[in-house]
Amino acid sequence: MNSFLQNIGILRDLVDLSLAILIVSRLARLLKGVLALRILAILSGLVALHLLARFFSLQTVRLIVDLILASSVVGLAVIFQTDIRRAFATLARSRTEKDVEMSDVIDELVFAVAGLAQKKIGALIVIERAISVDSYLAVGTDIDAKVTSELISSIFLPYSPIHDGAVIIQHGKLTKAGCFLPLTQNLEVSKSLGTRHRAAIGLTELVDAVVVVVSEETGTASVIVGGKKTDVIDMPSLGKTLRRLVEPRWLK
Amino acid sequence: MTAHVKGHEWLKGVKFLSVLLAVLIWLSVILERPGEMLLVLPVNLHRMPAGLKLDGGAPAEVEVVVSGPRILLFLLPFRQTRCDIDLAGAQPGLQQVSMKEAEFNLDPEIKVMHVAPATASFTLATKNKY
Repeated sequence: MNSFLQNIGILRDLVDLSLAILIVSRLARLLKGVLALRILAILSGLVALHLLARFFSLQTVRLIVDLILASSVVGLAVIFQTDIRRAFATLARSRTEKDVEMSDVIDELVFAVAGLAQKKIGALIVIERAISVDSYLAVGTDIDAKVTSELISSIFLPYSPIHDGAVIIQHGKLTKAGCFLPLTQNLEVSKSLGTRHRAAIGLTELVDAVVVVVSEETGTASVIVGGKKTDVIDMPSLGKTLRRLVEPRWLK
Repeated sequence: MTAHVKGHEWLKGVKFLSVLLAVLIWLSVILERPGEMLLVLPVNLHRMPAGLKLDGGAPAEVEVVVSGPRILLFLLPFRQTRCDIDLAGAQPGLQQVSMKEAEFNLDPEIKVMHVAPATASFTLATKNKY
């Protein structure tokens, strides 16, 4: 009976520690930039100092550290007020609103692809799903903008400095443009396919992203997933395919 | 590419520091939990009245069970903690001092739960003038 209670105690401690790690890392993710790292390091240092002061019964040091730790809550709320406000705003947003947003992203994409295909302007659009594509991207320019057909079209215009390469859509936002993707090494891929298609196939062989390619030679659009290319017959079917492949949670 | 590498390093740094901070917070909580410890402390007889001396033996050590926050208990065996018995006003003859009256130089947050033996017996005699 005693060992059972002891085991329950150990289990409770492990759950307690795991939840503490989860909460701290979730809160830390809300904060962006190098400042977050510094603040985490300072807080860790203060808590370690509190422990040492307690351990060696250094009453004055403990009092000072405890005062700083207690007031740091207010300090952090002031420093990160924008991030906190944004996080609460995201939480407060209703599901319907998010579904509408998802629909907006797909609509904007389809509209942009239709325009580019009509003008025979080549395009490579990567939509990230569950697996991050960050590790497989080279070069690229950070953008972090709302997905609009105008923005996508202007990026791929031939005189745009970032028209070569792919645009990346992560969590419903256009985060990067002009990114180079890994080319497929698969010898079975048709030699008639150009670099854009090879890059799209190469990336989708490595991650679960969905890639939309517009060929500048034929003006046709295709969707590539898992290294497999599917030609798009018309734009409504592209919208349907994208809605089927991209779940709302990946656009949040 | 540099931006992505930096992004990965940032994420790794945040993950590491988050885990470190959480573990430190958790430690500071669990180390505050109350615990008990058995100590063997030397007995120190002090403020012996002038003209009196100890006749025969006195208990050299006592066993003490203390309770308090675990973080304060860790260092106790390494501290020079002792059991002080105040002899001010003592008369010659057999002395039986209850250990409840003894003083222990412990942190105010640490409580003495049990002392063995419960009383210390010793004899005080008048000093020979010659």
